[in-house]
Amino acid sequence: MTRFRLRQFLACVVVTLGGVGSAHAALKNCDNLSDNPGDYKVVLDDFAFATPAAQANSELAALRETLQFNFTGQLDVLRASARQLDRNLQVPMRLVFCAGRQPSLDGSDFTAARAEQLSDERVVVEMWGKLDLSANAGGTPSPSARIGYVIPPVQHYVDEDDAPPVHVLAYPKTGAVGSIAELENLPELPAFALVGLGTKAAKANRYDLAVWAFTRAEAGIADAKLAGANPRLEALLAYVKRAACETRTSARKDPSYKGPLTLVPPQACGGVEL
Amino acid sequence: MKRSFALTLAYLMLCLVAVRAVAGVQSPCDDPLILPGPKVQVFIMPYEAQGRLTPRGHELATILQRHVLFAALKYPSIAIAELTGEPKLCAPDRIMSRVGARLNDGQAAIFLWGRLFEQGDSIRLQSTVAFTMHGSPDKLQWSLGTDTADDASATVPADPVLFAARQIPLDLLQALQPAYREARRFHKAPDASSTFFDLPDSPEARFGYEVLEVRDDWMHIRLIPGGDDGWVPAHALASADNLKGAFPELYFVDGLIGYHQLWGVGSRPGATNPRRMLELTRASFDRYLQQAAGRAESEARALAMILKGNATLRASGTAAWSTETLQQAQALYRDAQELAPTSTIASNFFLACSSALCARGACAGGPDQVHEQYLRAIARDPTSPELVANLDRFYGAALSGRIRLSTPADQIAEQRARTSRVQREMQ
Repeated sequence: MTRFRLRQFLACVVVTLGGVGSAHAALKNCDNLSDNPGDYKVVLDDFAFATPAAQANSELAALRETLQFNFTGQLDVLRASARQLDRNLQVPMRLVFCAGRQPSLDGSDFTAARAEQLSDERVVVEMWGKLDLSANAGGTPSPSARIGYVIPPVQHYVDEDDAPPVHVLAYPKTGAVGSIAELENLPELPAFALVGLGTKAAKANRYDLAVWAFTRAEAGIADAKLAGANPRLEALLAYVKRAACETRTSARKDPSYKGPLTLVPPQACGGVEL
Repeated sequence: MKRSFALTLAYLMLCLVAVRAVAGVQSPCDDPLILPGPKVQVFIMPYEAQGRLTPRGHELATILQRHVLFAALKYPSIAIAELTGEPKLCAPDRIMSRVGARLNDGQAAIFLWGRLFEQGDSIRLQSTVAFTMHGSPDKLQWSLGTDTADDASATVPADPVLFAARQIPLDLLQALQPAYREARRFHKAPDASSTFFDLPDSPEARFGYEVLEVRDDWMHIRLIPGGDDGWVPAHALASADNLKGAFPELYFVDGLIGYHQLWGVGSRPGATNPRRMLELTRASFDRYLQQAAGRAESEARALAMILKGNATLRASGTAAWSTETLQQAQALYRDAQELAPTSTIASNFFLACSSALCARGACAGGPDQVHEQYLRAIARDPTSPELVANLDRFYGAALSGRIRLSTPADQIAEQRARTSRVQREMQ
C-alpha cells in the first residue's frame, strides 16, 4: 500500500469514526472484494462510535487517536510482510478498506456461509472496532474500545474447538507489562492475517507458503501474548503449530511436491513442539 | 584517540521536523546531500506527525533527532543529514532510492524515519530504520573447504527494521535541557571549564560541521560556513540516558554506525583501532537490547544480536577468523535465535558459523546436532534459498571428510543429491 493510499485510509477512518454504528443493521457488503481475485486480502472495516454520547465524548476521541496511531504502526508491519512475501514467493497480499461496513461486535455476522464466501475471496482476516462508554465500578461512564477480528479461512476449514476464528479484544489491553505502550500495541492484526494466509495456502497445497506463514504467525502471536495471554490466543497458537506440522507431512506425501520440505524427516504432529 | 586533520566531514542539518516545514524553504529531501568521503552517512528523515504538536512536543522531537546527530559524532568518517521537506518529497522509498543511486562503493547509508503523536503529557514515537552498503550486500561467508564456492554464507536482509511504539513523557524535556545546552556549546579547548560560545537555539538554524579532530570524547569542530571552530563534548547528549532509555532505537542507530565503520576495517590503512570501534558498537547494541527487553520487537532485537556477531567477525579483519573469534560470534548468533526462535535470519547466521566451526572440529554439541538444526530450520521456513544452499555445502564438507557426521557416507551422498535437486527447484 502506498503512503498516499494509507493516508486515504486514515482519512477514511477519521471520517467514518464521525458516524454512529447501528446495532441491528444488516452487514454491508464490501464492494472491493471481487477486485484482484488472485490476491490475498486483509479487510479493514469501520471503527464506529456506539452511540451519539460516545461520539461526543472527548476521552473517547483521544482513545480513537491512540488507536489510530498504533493501528497505522501495525499496517506498516503488515505492509512489510506483504512486500517480503511478494518479493520472495511472488504472493500478492493487499489491504481492502470497507467504508461503512460495521460488523456486530460479537462477530455473529460472520455466519458459516459468509465465512466461506470471504475465504473464497481470499480474505485472510477482517478487522473492525467499536468505541463506547461503559459504566465502570463506580457507575461513571468510562471510555472503552473493542476490536474484533475474524479469520475466515480458519472459520471455514477448521473446527472451532481446534482454532477459534473470532477474537474480540478490549483496547487498550489491561495487564502487567513492562511498558504501557505494549498495552496499546495491536500485534494481533498481522499475526491473524498470517494464520489466515497459512490456512488458505495449506488448503491450496502451497506448502512452502503455508509453513512460512504459520511460522511467522507463531512469532506474531508470541508478541501479542506479551500484553497478556488468553485461552483463545493459546488455542490459536496450538493450532498454528499443529497446522505447520500437518502441512509438512502433507508436502512429504505429495508426489508433485519437490521443494525443501522433502528434506525434512517425518514428524508426529500430536503435541508438536518444534 | 587522535586522528588526522579533516578525516571527517560531517554535515549536520539542524532544522525543523517536517510538520513545521515552511513552504518555499529549500528541501534537502528533494536533493539529499551525499558526500564522497565519509564511510557512513546517516539520513534522519522527518517524523510524520499525526495531529498537532504543541511547542513542547516540537522541542522534544527536535531534541530527539539532535540526540542521534551528536551521539553519532563519536565515530570517524561520518556524515549526518537531517532532511526536511513536504511529506511527499520525504517518502522513505524515494529518498533511499535517490541516495542509493549516488553512493560510492564501500559507502554505507543509514535511514531513520517514523511517526509521532502527542497526547496529554506524552509523545508517542514509532521509528523505522533501514541501512545499506553500496556495492555489496551485507553478507558474510564462512570457509568449509578449499574453494570459496564451498563457503557457507548468510545475508542481512535489506528490509526496514520496525520498532515498537515508544511513549515519552513531555516533562523529560526539562530533564534534558542541561545536556542539550552542553551539546550546543563550542569550547575553546577540550575542557568543560574553558570559555565557550553557544550555537543559536533556533530550530530553523542550519549548520555544517567539519570534524577536525577527536580527543577523549571531545570533538574539534569547524563551523561551515563561517569557519569558527571549537570543541564540543560528544558525550554531552549521550549522557542523557533518560531519553535513550525511553527511545532505545537511538542505541540501535549508534550501533549501526559503528557496525558499518567496521566493514572492511582490515583493508583500510590508517583506519581507527577496530577493537575500540567494536567495543563502541557492541556497547551500543547491548544498551538497545537491554532497554528494549520485553517489547514486541523480537526480530529487531535478534537483528541487533546478529549484528553484534557480525561486528565481532568484521573487527578481526579480512584474514581467516580464528576459532575463538568464530566461537564468540556463534554464541551471539545463538542468543539471536533465543530472542527470535522463528527468525530464519538468526538460524542461518548461527548455522553457517557453526558449520565453519564443525569443519575445524570445534562445534560444540557436534556436527550431528548442527545437521539436525539445519533440518529444523528448513522445516520452519522452507522458503530460504540461502539456508538450503548452506545445508548443501554442509553435506559437501561432510562428504569430503571435513565435517564428521555419524550418518553413513552413502546416505549423506543421497541427501546431498536431494538437496542439490531442491536448490535447482527453488531457482
